[in-house]
Amino acid sequence: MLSDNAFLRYQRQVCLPEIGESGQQKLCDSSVLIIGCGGLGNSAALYLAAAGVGKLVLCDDDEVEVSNLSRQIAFRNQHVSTPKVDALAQQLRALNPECHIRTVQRRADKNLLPLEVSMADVVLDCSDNLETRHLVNQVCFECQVPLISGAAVGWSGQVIAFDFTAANKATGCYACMVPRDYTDQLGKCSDLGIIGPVVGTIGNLQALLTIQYLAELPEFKTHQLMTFDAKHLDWQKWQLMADPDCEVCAAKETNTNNNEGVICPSL
Amino acid sequence: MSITVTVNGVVQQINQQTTLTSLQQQLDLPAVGCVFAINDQIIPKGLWSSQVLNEGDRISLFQAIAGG
Repeated sequence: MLSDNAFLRYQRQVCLPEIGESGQQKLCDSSVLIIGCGGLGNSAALYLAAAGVGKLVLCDDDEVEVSNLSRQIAFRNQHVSTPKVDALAQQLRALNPECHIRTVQRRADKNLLPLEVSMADVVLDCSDNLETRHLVNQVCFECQVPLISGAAVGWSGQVIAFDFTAANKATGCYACMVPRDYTDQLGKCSDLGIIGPVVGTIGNLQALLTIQYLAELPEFKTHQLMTFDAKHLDWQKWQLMADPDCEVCAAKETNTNNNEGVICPSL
Repeated sequence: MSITVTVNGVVQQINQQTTLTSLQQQLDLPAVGCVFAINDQIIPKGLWSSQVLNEGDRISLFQAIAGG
């Protein structure tokens, strides 16, 4: 049952029949892990905190730089040289004190991710490199936690949701879409530049997909890549299929005991 | 016999029974970090060598991006 204060605060979304009090309660009872507090993480976190997601966990090991301020819109000039997770947490708490924020000022690595992913209802990949993206995918797949992956560089954006919960196995994963044969200079904002609203658009869509998933909208679509061409304002949708040779998801059941994978703690 | 396909919107004549892998080699298309799709269906890399192209297929090739 929503409190009077919560009802007032979230009234504009509670009044939507697809959300209602029960959908809002689901948001309030949920925990979302946000990996990366750059442009994607800023936008997604602001909307999720505003929407009343009960708990946000922010993971990033960087500090705010002056060159971030053109697009990482939760940060203010005085945040330069402070940890991104602290600056973002401060803004989110000011926005909505009902939202519980926990910060993890560490790199999302193999030691950190299994426990953090296991405790989340949804994971948002807002990171800036393919190595982290592949690791997040693997841990989410093995822990059967839904992953909402966004990426943006230059004038391009990509976003896709993977529902890895038990009912949705064997439909592919991030590694089926992006093979691991990449070189590391692939597509980073620091090298290639980025327009602020492009990364904001993708981060906002990650927040939207998260709300759709948590509120259990039947229209929530998993395993569909959306690509955004920000020069021509074109969107395209692409269906994903599982790679029979995928090192992450092929020919093995999701489990907690395989030798090559990460160990997901059972909570 | 040749068939007509498009690759990122550009019309190409190719031999029947051409696979995605042979198309990539014939046209010297980039492959590392790239996503191939045929008619809006992403084709995972494990299927590139067996995926035969058909008349009228719309082939798309785009870079996976990682920025955030």
